[in-house]
Amino acid sequence: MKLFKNKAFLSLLVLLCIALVAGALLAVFHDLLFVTEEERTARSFAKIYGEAVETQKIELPEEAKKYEKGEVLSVYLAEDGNYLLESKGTGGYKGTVSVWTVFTCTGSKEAGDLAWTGIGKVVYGSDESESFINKITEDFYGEFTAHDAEVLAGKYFSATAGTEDIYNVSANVTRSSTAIVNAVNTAIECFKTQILGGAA
Amino acid sequence: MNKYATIAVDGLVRENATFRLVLGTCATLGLTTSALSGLGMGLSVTVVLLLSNTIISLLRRLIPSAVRIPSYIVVIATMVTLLRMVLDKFLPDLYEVMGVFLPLIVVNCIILGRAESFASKHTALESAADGLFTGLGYTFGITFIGIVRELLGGGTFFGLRVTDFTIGFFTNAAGAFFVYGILIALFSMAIEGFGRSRRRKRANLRIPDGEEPLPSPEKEATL
Repeated sequence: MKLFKNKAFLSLLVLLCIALVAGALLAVFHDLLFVTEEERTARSFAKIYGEAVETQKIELPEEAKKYEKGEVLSVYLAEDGNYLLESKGTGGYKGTVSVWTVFTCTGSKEAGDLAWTGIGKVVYGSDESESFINKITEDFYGEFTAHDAEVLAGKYFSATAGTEDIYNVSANVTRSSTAIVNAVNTAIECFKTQILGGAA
Repeated sequence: MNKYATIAVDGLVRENATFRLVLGTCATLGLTTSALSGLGMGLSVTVVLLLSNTIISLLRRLIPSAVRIPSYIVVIATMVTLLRMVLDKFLPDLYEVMGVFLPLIVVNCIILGRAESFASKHTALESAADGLFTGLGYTFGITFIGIVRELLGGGTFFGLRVTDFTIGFFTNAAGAFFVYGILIALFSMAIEGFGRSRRRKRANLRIPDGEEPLPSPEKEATL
């Protein structure tokens, strides 16, 4: 019982009790407030369409997801027949940036008349500590949807001026812009080879 | 003034965390490109302050002095983590905007400062009032800076377009320092001016009949 009169022991005991109660409280609330992966995906779709939409997940083999400057994270077929690809691109300020790219299509794969008509929308997904990501303008995202004819003809996007590709960069946010451009290019490549190419 | 009114005036004006104590500056400069993100951060800090102040005050007789700081940090970190979970679940857009600044509330010196200087020495009710009003004072400050920067830098007010005339400088870090400095000066001038006129009024009330009142501030300046 002498131990319980020791000041250092009592101090540690109190600290331990506080930490245990805090841990238990957090565990309970974590279970109550946990956001599932499905919930996060539904939020992204709501951001893209402005409302909840029915989607069907398309599984791709692992080797079909990795590209030179990015990676495809997930592919969905929406109820309106468009394809949604979540991809991340390298070259950001401190890592990668993920975006959702909507590929507008007519027809369907099942009917054998699937035709790509362009890029409907590019929406920001997430990033790894890109400090200036909020400074990227809507015009930059809009530029991806304004060159359908060139993209359908085989061109990609580039954040560097002077290339044959379509130049698109957000001023003062070049590193994060580069990562987004790489993510969109990765999505286009994957869509062309895996969805239109028939691998999926 | 009763003690709750004094706590309210201290938290909102006399010891305003943003303009008088210059605390929580990191988030103040980083999150004021828009009024809405400033308001979100301010209210988040208010909630954490209110809860942590109350809990620390309730535990003040149980926590030995030697482990008081680690204990406060555990309580504050728990409250911030709970807030993060709630925002991620119910306000995901605000959660995304606040990004890295949300977990950084744990090391916000306003919260630890009020825990150490107020909550550990006062009753739970007084500490809750202190947390609430200090938080609201901070919210007022950070939102006001956000309004000024958003209006000058982006031409909008809480996202609504007001003017097409914009000065990009105010959206940068340098612009944040500039606006912050100017507003601290204006706030301090207003508080000191108000204090001077109150002191003068009180002094004039005590002047016996037939004696000259104190000179006006303008006259005093020329003297």
